Amino acid sequence: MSLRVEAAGMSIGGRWLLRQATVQVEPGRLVALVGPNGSGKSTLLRLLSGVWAPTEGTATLDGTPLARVPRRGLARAVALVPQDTHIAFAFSVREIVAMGRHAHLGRFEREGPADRDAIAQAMARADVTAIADRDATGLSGGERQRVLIARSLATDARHLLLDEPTASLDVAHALDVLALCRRLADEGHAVAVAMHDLNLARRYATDAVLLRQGAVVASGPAEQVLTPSAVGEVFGVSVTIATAPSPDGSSIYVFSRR
Amino acid sequence: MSLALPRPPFASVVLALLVLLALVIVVAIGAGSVPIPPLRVVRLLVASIGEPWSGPDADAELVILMALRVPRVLVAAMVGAALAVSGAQMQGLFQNPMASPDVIGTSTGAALGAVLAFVFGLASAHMAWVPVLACLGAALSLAAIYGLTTRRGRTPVAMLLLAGVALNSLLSAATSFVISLSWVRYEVAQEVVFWLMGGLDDRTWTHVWMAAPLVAIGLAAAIALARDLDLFTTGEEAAATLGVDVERAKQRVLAVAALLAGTAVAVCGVIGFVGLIVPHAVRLVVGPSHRRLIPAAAIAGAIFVIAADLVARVALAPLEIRLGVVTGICGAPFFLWLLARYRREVGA
Repeated sequence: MSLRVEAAGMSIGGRWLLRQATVQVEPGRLVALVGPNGSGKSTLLRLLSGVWAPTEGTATLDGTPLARVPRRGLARAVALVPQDTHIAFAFSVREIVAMGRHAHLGRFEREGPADRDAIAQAMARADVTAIADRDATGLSGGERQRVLIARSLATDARHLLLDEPTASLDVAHALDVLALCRRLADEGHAVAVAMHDLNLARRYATDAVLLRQGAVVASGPAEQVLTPSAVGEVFGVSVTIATAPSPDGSSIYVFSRR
Repeated sequence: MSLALPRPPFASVVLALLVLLALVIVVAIGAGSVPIPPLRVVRLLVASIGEPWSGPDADAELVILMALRVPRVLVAAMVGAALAVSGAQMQGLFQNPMASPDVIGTSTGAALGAVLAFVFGLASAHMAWVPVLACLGAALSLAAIYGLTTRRGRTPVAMLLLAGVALNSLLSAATSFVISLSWVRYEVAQEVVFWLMGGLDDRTWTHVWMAAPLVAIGLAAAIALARDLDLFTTGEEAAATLGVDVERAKQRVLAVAALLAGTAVAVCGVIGFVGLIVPHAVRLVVGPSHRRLIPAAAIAGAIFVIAADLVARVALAPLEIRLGVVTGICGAPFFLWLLARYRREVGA
C-alpha cells in the first residue's frame, strides 16, 4: 500500500533535474517535500504521479512499476494537484470536481449515484459545496486550490500529491489547506506536499524530505529531518528555533541571512 | 468572465436549436429567383420522399428544389457543422478561445491541398482526391501550428495568432505560386479561384455525398473525444493524472479537427470565422463542457452557414454576394472584439 521511487532520477535534455532519489509515501503519513527553488520537488511529484517516467531508478505503486499500472487504474490510485491552477474556460466548480470521476467512467457512460456521492463528498471535504455552481474562472487562488483538491478527492485515490498548494494563498487559507491535508493523512490517505513554508511543514507534516540541487539530502520523520542545522545548510541561512507564545505553544523557525 | 450559472437546461437549448434549424432550412430552400412559400416547400419535400424528382413529367418546382436548392442547403449545413465543431475542438485543444480553422491556417492548408488536387489533374481522375488532399493539407498545417506554439498544453494567445498569420501567409503564397504556374490552363485557374474565395454556388448532390460520410464520422468522433477535451482545461499533466492518454487524445483531436475543416474546405472553399464565432456563442449558452458544446455547436454552425448563405443570395438579388464576404462581415468585428477582451493576455 505505498507509492515509492527508488534511486530515481530524471534527466531532460542532458540536464539532471533529480538524481538518486528514494522516497516513499505511505498511508497515514503527510510527507512534506522541502527545498529551495529548483531543488527537484516538482520533479519528484511528477515521478511519483507517473506523469514522467524516471530516467534512472524506479517508480512503483505497491511494488508494480508505474509504467505497467493501467493508466485508469493509476488515476484511481494516485491524484496530483498541479501547481498551475489556471482554468481556461468557464466550467462550474461542480464540473471541475466531477472531472475526478473520469477514470471511473466509460467513454460514453454518465455519472451514476456512486459518482454523484463521491463528488458531493469531495466538495464537502474541501469546503467548496457553497460555491458548487460558481464559474471556476472567477474564483480566488485559494478557492481554486480547494476546488482542485476536491477534484483529487473525487478520484477516490488513496495517494494525494500536491505541488505547492499554499504558494498563492494567504495565511488563513494556507492553514486550512494544510489542516485538510493532515486530516486526510490521519484518515488513511498517503499524502505528499511540496512546500516552501518551513513553519507550515514543521507544523503539519509527519515526515519530510529535504532536497537540494536535485538530490535528497535527508528524509524521515519531520522532527528529525527539519532540524535548524539541516534547514539552514540547505537554504543557506541561519536558523534558530523560537517558542511562539501561541495557544498550542508550538515552536517556529526564525531565519536570518548568514 | 463571470457567467450566470446555472445554465438553461441542455435539452431545451438543443430543442430550440433544432426548431431554428428546421425553420432556416425551409426558408433557405424557398428563397431564390423562383420563390417557393415555406408551406409548399414542406409539402413538396414530404411528397418527394421515395418519388423520383427528375424526368419529363416532373413538377418544375420540385426539380428546382431537389436539383439546386436542397443540395446547396445540405452542403451549407454540413460545412457549418464541420467548421463549428472543428473550431470548438481547436479551442479546447489549444486551451485558447482565439483558435479556429481559418485564424491558424488550417483552412488555408486545406485549400492548398484542394488546389493541388486540381492542378495535378487528380480531381478529374476522381473527385475523392479533393477531400483527401484537403484533409491532408489541413492536418499538416494544424500539426505544424500545434508543434510551434504549444508547450505543456498551454498556448499563449499572441504566439498562436502570430504563428497563424505567418502560416496563413506562407500557405497563401504557396497557393498563389501553384496558381501562377497553372494560369495558362483557364479551366483549372477558374476552379482554383473558387476555392480561395469560398462559396456554395452550384453545389450538387455529388458534393453532398462526398462530404456526408466524412462529416458524420468527424462529428461522431468529436463527441467521443469530448470528455478528454474537457480534462485539458486544467493542463495536460492534470489530464494525464486523471486518466487521459494525453498524447493519443491530442493526436485524435488534431486528426478529427483536420478531417472536419478539410472536408468543409473541400466542398466550399475557405469560409472564414464560422469556427471562431459559433463555438464562442454556443459556449456562452451551454457552458464549456464539450459533451454539450460539440453537439450544440454542430447544430448552431449549420444554422449560421445556411442563414449566411441565404443572406448572400437574397441581400442584393439578383446579384449574389460571396458567402465568405457575409461570414467575414459578421466575423471580423467579432474577432476584434474578442481581441480587445483578451488584450491583457495578448500583452497589448
